Amino acid sequence: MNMEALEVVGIKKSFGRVRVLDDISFKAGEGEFVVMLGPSGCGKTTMLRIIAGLEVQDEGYIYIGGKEVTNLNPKLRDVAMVFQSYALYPHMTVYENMAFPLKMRKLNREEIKQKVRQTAELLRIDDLLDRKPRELSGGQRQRVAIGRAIVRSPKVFLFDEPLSNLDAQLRASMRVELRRLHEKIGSTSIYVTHDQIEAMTLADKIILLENGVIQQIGTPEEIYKKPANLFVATFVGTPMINLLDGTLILKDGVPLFKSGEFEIALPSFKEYFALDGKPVVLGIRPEAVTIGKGPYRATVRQIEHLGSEKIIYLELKGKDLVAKTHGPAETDRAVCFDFNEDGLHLFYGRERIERIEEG
Amino acid sequence: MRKWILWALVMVIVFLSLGPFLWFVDTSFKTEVEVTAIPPVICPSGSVGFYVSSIKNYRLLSYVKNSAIVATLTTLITILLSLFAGYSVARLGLPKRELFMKALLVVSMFPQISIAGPVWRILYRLGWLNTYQGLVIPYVTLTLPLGVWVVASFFKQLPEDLEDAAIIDGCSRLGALFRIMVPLSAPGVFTAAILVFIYAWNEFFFALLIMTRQDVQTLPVGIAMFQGQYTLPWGEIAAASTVATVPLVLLVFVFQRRIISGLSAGAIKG
Repeated sequence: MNMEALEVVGIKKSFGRVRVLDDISFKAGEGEFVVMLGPSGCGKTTMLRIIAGLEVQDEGYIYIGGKEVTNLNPKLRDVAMVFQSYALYPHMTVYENMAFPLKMRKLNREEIKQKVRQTAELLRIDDLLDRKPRELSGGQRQRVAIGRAIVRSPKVFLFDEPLSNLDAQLRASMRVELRRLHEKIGSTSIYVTHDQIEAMTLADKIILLENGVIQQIGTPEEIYKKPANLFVATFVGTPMINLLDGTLILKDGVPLFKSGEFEIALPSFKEYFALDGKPVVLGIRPEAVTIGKGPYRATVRQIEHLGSEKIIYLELKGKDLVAKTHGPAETDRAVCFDFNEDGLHLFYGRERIERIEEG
Repeated sequence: MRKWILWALVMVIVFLSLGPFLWFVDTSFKTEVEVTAIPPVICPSGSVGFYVSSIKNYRLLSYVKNSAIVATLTTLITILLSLFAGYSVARLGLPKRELFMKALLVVSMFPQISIAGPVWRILYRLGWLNTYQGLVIPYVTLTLPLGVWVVASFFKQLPEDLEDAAIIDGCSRLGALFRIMVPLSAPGVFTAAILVFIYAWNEFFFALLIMTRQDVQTLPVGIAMFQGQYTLPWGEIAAASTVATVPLVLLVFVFQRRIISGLSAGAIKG
């Protein structure tokens, strides 16, 4: 008997000839906040709809609270969903919207009233209960949509890009609030987004999808610090990781990355024997470039100020390099810099090569 | 200057469309003498004699009753079927959906006369000539294309998320249809209902063909039958025509807002 809050096993789904999900399996523990992250069209929303029962998979199984729900219709699965468009019922008041799922479950009127009140207070929308959705702002609608999901205390919450219709400032504050709400209610949540910041800040666990295939499952830290492959490394992190094509050469037993005239010794990478002379890609996180002193020199081409930090576009022996730093720099002047080795990643083919200490 | 021309044109159009209607309303309140007076009397004396006479001598109320029954039944059945058909067309991803909609359109364009013969034979065999169902069923057939088109185009405009939300909240598909989709498409449903009602209320040809017994005839046929071989009761015809028209005018006035938003809905969103 499996007691995970949600388990997805071997889900496959095609629309016509297009395979949108290929053998997706993952688990979400009780109270865990799982974010499915990926570019648009990667299949994350389809996966969510399959969990909800709005879409039927070609193959695979779904378990919620240890019970198989693979072929059950949505109302028997005990899940609630928050839609990107909010999907509030326009002809009902806020109160009626929130009471609707309870009414469908045939709760008595007193119980409904009490639960709606309680939820509305939790979300601070108790003064809006008599309004219609069209009289609400985007943020308020969002709260009502969340309220309608919370009010039934379902086993699993499903969120389909719930913040993407809000402006940047509101999105940031709703994000914080969602996390706080999650900690208060402690419910299992599956959250779909293409926004890496949402994923990094909200998730206990991130599932990164591309073209219907899971690229990596891990905590936000793991995803960032140990990206499984080139896709993960480039998708997560702003500005994007620098990628240099080059060759790995063994020199006196130390692996040396060579790209044109640029060379860097990488003492902490293992498996280098097998890679001697092979083409590899070196990934350099922008914040791993430390400006000020060091053995490397480059010319500053452009500077973007972000307030506390700046983004510096460097030219390094004919190659572009982006750095995110506090260090001093002036346009068109040469600077010295070094690399922080934690932010360096080596890829062979698509896969990342692990470091010795990670082994 | 241009404004004046515009106004003049509007007045001409209004007069042309309202003129006949105003004339028979006017006539219905005249007396027997005033009707045939030359030059014509514009201001009638306000007699209701023709109304009384058309009820007493020409069974006007029986026609009104028959028309009301037939038009109401037709509207209810057509709209109910349109809701289901429109929903399937708009949402269920039927194969060859476009073909189905086009076929409906084509069917609705058949001249009535071309199906009159078969319809009569079928009803004859069923023994449904001179029955309400005998008239209602052909009416439903003829109005269904309109109903399905209007309802389907309204359903298509509603975001699918709403229905998904309702289904997750615990509705069945039918529940989502009647609790969410139908209330939100009310303008469209009303528009379709009124158009269907007007059609069934006004229809003459099938009514004449199928209802040969006077006690089941509808208003348009009934009024046409006022005319005898040697008599032309203008006053009674005018009175009956007024009675036939007023309910429709009231209906449209009451639901005016909804109808306008219904007719223009397609224009706002693709």
